[in-house]
Amino acid sequence: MNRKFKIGLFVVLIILQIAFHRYENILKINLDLLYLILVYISAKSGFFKTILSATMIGLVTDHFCMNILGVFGFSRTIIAYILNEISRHIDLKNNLFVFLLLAISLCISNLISNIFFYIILGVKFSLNLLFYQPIFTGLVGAFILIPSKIKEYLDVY
Amino acid sequence: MYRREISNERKLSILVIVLFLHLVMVSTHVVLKNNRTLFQTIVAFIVSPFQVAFQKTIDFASHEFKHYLFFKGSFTKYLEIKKKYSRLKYENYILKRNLIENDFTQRVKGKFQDFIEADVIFIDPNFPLSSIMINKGSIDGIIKDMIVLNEEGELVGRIVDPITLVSSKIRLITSSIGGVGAYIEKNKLEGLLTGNNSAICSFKYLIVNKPVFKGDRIVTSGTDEIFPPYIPIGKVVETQKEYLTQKVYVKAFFTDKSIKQLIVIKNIKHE
Repeated sequence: MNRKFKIGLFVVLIILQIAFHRYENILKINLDLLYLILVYISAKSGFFKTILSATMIGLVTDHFCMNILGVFGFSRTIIAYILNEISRHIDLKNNLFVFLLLAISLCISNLISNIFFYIILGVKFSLNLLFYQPIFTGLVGAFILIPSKIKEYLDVY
Repeated sequence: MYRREISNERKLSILVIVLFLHLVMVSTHVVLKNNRTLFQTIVAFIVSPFQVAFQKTIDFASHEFKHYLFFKGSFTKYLEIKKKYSRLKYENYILKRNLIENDFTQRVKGKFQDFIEADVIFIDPNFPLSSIMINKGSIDGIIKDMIVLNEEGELVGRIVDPITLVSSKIRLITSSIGGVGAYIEKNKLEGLLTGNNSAICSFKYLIVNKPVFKGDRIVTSGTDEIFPPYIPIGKVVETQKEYLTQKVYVKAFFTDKSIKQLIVIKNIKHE
């Protein structure tokens, strides 16, 4: 049951990310829902799964954003590795902690990506990427974990 | 759930490899001033030395191979030319010999009707102007006392024993043995020419009343019944007057010329 729920939730998040990407200009909201999947996998899975999923999610994110393959792959892999290393100390039961974890880690990841964009394309540091997206994504992540039933299904004890 | 423990070094190694692959992917989008991507530039930087080395190796090998082929071809051609040259040299020798023989034959034919051509095969090293051997013998029709001339038709000697099937001995007129009946062409002063085993022969029994001068030609007289008359022998080189006779020294014509080829006369034709 937990596994099916997880897969279903991941699929929903992917579909929503695609939808958000498609209507990004209209909705004026910049979210990275794939990052939620990545953080969950990093916190709950082993090293190989973490690195592999970080690479895959990073490449997909690259496809959605700027279309320069490797930039988000690089930053997401570093963050995923760090999260995986500190996974024992991550407390997903605390929603505020989850929000801060998501926001800060995504902010760092996006900062790394932005440095690359600045070097390669000369793009200036984006407030949207460094501030709003981590905040919104953190809020969504924390919001998802509010119901205790979902925490249960996601093996968050 | 059992989770397989992975060492930190291994984790870091894998992480570095994955990050490196990401950076490689990123580098494909970084365009440098030379309008090439960073990836292309890095690859070119890494690959170009190998490419240059490979190209140089190929060029060197190709160059050496061409040289080898060229030298091999040249050597083969050289051998062919050398072979051809040897063949032509031999042909040239044969043709030259034929030419000389034909020329010799034609010249002799004008003077003598019936003769045998012969090559000298042996000269006595101790007495080179005494006797010689020729390569014609009784099988060619050589008989004793046939006279022998050089290619100019000047007297050389006569056939003496031994005569074998394929060789004969010639006693030269310069030999100390024997003599030739001769006279001075200008004043018909007759005497006996005897050899001294040298180029100078003695012309004896000449009466003193007829003068003899240096350069006078001596020819056979025919009175010895061996040598036919009018065959040139030599010329006077020195005269010594005595009480009743005069002693004349004669240099045989043939001593100044080659005696490689000779003719043996069967029936002489008088000019």
